[in-house]
Amino acid sequence: MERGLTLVELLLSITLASILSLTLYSLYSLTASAYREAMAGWYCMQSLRSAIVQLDSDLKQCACLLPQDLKVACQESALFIAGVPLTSSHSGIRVHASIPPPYFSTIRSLSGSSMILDVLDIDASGSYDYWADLGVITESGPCVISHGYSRGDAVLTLKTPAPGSTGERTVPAIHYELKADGLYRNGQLLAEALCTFAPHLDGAEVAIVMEACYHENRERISYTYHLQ
Amino acid sequence: MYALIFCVAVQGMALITCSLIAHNMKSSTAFANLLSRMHIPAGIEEEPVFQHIMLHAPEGWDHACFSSELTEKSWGNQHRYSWRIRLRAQPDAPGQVSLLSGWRPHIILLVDDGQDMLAACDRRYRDNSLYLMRPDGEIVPVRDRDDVSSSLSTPSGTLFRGYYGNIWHQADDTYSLGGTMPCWTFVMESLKDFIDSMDLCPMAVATVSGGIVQPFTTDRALLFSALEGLRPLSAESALSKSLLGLLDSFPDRCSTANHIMVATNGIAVGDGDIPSWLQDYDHDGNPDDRAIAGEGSHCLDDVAAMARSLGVGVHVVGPGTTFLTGTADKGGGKLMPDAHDFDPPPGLATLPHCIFGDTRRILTNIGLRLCPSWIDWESTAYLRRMANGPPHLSSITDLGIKGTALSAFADGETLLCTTSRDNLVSIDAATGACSWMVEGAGGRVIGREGLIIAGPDIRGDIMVLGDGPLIRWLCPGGLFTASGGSLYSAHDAVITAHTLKGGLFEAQYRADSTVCALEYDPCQGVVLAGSRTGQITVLGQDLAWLDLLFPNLPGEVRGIRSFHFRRELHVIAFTGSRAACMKAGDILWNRSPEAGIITNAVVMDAKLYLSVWEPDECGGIDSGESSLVILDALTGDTVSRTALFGAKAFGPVIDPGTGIMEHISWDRSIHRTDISGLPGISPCSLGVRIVSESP
Repeated sequence: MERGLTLVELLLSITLASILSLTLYSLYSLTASAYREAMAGWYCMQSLRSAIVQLDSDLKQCACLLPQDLKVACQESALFIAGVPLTSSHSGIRVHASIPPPYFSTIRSLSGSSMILDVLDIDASGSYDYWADLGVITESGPCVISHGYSRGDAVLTLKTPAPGSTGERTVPAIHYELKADGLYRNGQLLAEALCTFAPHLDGAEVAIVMEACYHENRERISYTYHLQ
Repeated sequence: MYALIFCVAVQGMALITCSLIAHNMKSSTAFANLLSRMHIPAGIEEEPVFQHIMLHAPEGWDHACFSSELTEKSWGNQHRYSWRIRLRAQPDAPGQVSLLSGWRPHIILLVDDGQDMLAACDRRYRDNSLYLMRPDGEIVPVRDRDDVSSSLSTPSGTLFRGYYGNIWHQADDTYSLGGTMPCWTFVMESLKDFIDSMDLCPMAVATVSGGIVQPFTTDRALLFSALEGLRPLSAESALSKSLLGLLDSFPDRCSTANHIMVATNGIAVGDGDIPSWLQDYDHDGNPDDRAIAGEGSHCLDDVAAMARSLGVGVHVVGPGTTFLTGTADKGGGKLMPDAHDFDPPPGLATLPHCIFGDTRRILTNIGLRLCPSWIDWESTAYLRRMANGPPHLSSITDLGIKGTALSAFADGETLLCTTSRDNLVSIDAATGACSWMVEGAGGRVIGREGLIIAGPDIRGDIMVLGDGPLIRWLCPGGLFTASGGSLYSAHDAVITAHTLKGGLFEAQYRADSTVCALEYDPCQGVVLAGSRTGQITVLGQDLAWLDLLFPNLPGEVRGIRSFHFRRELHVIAFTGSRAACMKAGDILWNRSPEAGIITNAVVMDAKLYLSVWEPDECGGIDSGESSLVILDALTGDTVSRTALFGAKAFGPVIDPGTGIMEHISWDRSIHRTDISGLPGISPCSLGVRIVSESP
């Protein structure tokens, strides 16, 4: 004849089971919370990382074959890094067979928010080096080419009044700008979670403070690059 | 139970790790380290590959003088660019006659043109020299030909070699002086040799019958032309009278010594009366020192003695008779003098030196000829331009160099140099060995595309020589410049383009007046021509008219420099006293360097470096004050003014390798200017390109 469970045994087992269940639940809850927090942090850091990797790459190659005194310009929360991005239709600034670098355009005339340059193909490579949403660095300051600008137009339409004066040198520049939904590079969203982008140029040092926000998570880093 | 404990431990460790990673990722230092690792080029263990590309002059640098060397350092996926200045050619100074203030003897060549000069005078023809017997019987030395072995009849007369003439063309020995050569031929040959051996001193030509026929000049062509225009046709030889008449023909100033060289056989015929007090000035008891009825007085030695007392040396070119030797002695001169008898300066520079790495080669003139101690003449091949047939050179044995250094060009490791007497030498700069010397090629010299261009020589020819050396072709012209494929020459107001290698005619352009400055801009591919009226004409490579610039300069344009700034061509033109800068037809500035004349100019880093010289009244290169004036090339504002020498400064000579610019004085002292601070003298970064990123 089989012997049944005693009450004590039953209570003990229930108690142990409860303890085990509670332990497992609390472990699960803790892990899930940590996971969510880590994911949010990771998302912020991923945005920051995307931004910083691109910034670092652009800064490393800034003003390649362009005037070395027109490397970087800051304007409020916008950053301009001299150079043009490599695209399917543009292979970057190239060395000409006879014309020595540095390459640049000069301002032929200014009118309101439009600018006429002496050349749009500064390295004489056969392709225009200025296009919509790209930045422009002049000796007096930076500005942004209008989104509606058609590549190759003699008149460069700008988003804001053109800086500088006739005869000044200008170079195309990669334009970083913080908008409500993140950091944009030449009009294209680069890092969604960025909520602060504060570039600062101090001599040959570019210091950028960036903050990414996601849910309750905020990640902030500062990045410094020494222009060579 | 153990499994449960294990799960808890694993989860705890995972949480700790996550928090550590999160904390670490917030650190920008960690990012920087991460990124720097990310951009370490692939193939880091490999040596970087360097590629050098020669490009046009950089912005603000003289187009004709400089190039930029772009260096691409490829290291894995990184391409790092930098540029630096390279020298294309040293700044070329406008052609100038070099004279000294401290040594400038004036010499009158007095030629006895009496008929008696056709008689023999104790001299034989030089065996291998060439002579021409004109139809009227006059025999003169002529330029060499290699188609005359002994004698050759030509429309202008009979050409013969000296050894042949010594047998078949002996002159009448009318005065029992012996010899085979007519005295006329002998003195003409001697005077031409003398003119070639002398330099830096003005000479005049006079005849016994007609007085001065060529005033004082340093132009050898004019002196030769004057001599060649003389004929021994005079029935009289009034030697003493003509010598006396020349004693007051010397300038009052800027002559350090006065000399008369009497070229005669010493036979006076119908000599004019001279004052009785002068007839026996030397008190030598000569019974002929008196007036002879119908013939006047034969007192050459007495007039020579008096000339000496007045500070005029009298030398004699002629047979070594007792009378002529005595005349030279009494005149304080020499019989058959040479350059050394005039005490030339022991060593002087008339050109900027050349720099080859650490070696400086100063083209020193010793004894009025290019003869620096570092040149080794041992294995020199001597060639001479021949006067017959198509222009060509023939080998000559034992030819001595003549004339002072006139123009030099460093072509790689070879130094090319011309002299004022149309000698062209090619010297290995490293060893100093002169590989060849050509007589008959002179003027300015440059090298292009493996060819040598020199000119104009005394004939007014611009010569293009190839390997050998061989004359490839030549053309008349006063100025020239060259691109890689064409030679542009200017003759009066006409500019002509020929193909450089073949000399084929390409194009021609006529300027408004005589072209006095001609420059080819290798960066813009244009020819810049400055005219006597002060205009600058801009021409294409095919001499098509492109633009006309008016610098508003007084006098003729002596030099043109071009550079670009902000993508626009800027042209600087200078005369002796002013310089002006133009851009697209506008005059940016026009000013003088305050005092002195501009001897050379070069543009570096948008600054105009002017070599300025304020000479004394005689204009000797050993006089005055020279300075280096630096102007802002865009505004004309004076940046600085530095004293160089108490004499003319030759140069500048620029050595971008060491960042030094040098000027040299006639006494071979060198002034160095540090230009190492100019951008481009040291390599300047042009940034980095990363070809393929691997994030």
